[in-house]
Amino acid sequence: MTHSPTGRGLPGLRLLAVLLLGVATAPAQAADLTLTMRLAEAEWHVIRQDVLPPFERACGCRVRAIDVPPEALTQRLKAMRAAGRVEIDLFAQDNMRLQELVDAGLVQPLDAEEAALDPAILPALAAAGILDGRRYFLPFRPNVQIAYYNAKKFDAYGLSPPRTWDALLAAARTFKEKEGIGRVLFQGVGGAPTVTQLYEWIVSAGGDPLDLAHPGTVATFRFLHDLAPLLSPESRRAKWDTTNDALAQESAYLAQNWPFGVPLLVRDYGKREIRTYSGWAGPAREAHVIGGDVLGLPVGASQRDLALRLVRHLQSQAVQGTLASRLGWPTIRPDATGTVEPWLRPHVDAVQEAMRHGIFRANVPYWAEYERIISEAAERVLWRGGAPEQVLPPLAKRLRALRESGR
Amino acid sequence: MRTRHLIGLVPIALYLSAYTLAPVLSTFWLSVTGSAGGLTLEHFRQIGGHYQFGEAVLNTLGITGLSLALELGVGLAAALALATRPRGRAAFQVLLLIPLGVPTIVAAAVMRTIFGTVGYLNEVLFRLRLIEIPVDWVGDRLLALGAVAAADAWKVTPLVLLILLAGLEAIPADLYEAARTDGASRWRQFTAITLPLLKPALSMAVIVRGVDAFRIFALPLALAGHGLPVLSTYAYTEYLEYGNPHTAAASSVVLLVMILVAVGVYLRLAGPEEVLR
Repeated sequence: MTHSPTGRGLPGLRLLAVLLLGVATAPAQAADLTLTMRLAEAEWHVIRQDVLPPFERACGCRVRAIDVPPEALTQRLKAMRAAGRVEIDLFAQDNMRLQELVDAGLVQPLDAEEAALDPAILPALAAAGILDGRRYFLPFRPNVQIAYYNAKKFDAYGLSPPRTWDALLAAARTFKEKEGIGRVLFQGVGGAPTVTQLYEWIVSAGGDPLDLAHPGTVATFRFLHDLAPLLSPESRRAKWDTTNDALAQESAYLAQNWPFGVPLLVRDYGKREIRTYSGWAGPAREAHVIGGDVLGLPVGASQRDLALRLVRHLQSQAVQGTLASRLGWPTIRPDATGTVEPWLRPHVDAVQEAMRHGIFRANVPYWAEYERIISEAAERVLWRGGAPEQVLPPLAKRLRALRESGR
Repeated sequence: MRTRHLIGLVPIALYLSAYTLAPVLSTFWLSVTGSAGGLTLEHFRQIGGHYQFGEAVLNTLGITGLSLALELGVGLAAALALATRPRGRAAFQVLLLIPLGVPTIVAAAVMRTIFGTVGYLNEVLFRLRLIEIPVDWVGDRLLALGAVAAADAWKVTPLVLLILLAGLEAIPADLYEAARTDGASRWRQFTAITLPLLKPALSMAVIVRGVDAFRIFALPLALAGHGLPVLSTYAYTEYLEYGNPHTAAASSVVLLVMILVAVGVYLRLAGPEEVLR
């Protein structure tokens, strides 16, 4: 009898084909709705444990909540559109990454929802979802960075939390002199954390963040240049999540960050000495970028009604109250802050104070390229000792070309 | 008969086409097409002119060289020690293999607790009164290269150890016996018997680990952030942070070419028969 590999191989192939076809045509997971956001683990815990279950019970459906970084959402939606299978029904997106979604035609217009907006939602925050004269996004979560400081260390050196750039420089110098190492943290990793922080510093100095030749912008980089040798070495790697580590491990005593670090540091790590306040003013004013996420529906998503129902749930007083009390998130509606736990109250006050100095970043289509240019400027000035007067002019030229091309 | 054998290869050919060839070709295509279509080398020019790209290439080469040297040195020493079948060898082997089972991102988190400014390494040096202020192990580029190479070596040296130990145990014992009878010293035995006969295993270790070291990603990103760019983190940043799949693909193609050249040069120097036999 002749050995025949194909005699066995063909049924094997048939089995493989059946399995592949089975996988290809199998229905998606039993989830009825797919929601994407970018959250820290502690935040996801609250969303999955406290926010989504009441909605799932009410609608008799299941929500598959998955983490998608804001910088990846556009690419992912483009890929889904190209594949003819949009599997995201609702997304929360960073309010600085909206124009690229609109320009790429990836998001559904929601003009019809204008009238259905809950009147309790702050009008200024509701306006953030309107681009090119049309409503594409609905408010969900405003955010603003506050200053965290280690009160024990400040007290030990007789320092007060800095309210001005001069005081910030003085505090940074004191820590460096006393401990031999910098303890003030700047999120200098590059990308979104660095750009967000610099944006508000530039406005604080009276500069134009979109113009690197503006005297206020140059002054900001000059200040950064002076501050650089006094910063905590962790600044080079610091971004939003690692800033919490630096504060928890006391490799930094002062840092700006979003409020999500408050429950982690104070409640979970028991660092009661970590206090917060709105931050410092620059030479011109105090300014804090209002960040946060808005909700949008992708073009091609099939669950519009259910997704809009989830939007209303996420905007509700109950959910916004839960997010405020459990996570210290600022809310889109003033009637949702009354339930905040007492230990969290001073931090919520710091957030509200920072919001009073809130500014919105310009939503420009070239934001990704803008981040690249600002990151390079920060890298050269902060970590390579470059003089702003030399570093900025060629980058200013590139930025001007971008503005003029409108890309 | 020949046709039947070829048909049997179809599943693996399909698999390789779908999961290896297609992504590589698609990446290459992305790297040479413009945003509006058409062939272009603009993306290569763009990354070539970027201030961090040259650093990323040098850092990739530096980490690969350093970690390979560490892994081969420590791996060979450990393999030689274990090949003498000391007491407790099984326990040693298990302990030495533990890092291999640790996910890379977990290893990176562990290494941060060692190399951070408030990490264990600084604490030990401080208690030994060797330093007064914490050292920023990943702040200086050369120190950072060393820290990343050491972290990589910690994780993957066990793999090198396993390959070399298998190679050592395949060397016939009677060769050593004959050498000893002829009065050969231990060093002479090592250079005349062990090293030449271990060459295939060494080659395998160099290629397997070399290719992997070129692609290093999580450790430099977690330990040094953007302060120590390597080609894979450069591609990641271009794609994810700056939303440019074309320049990300171009830097990935450069990485692929570097790996192919390095393997080609090594095969030419070591002789392909040593690896392929």
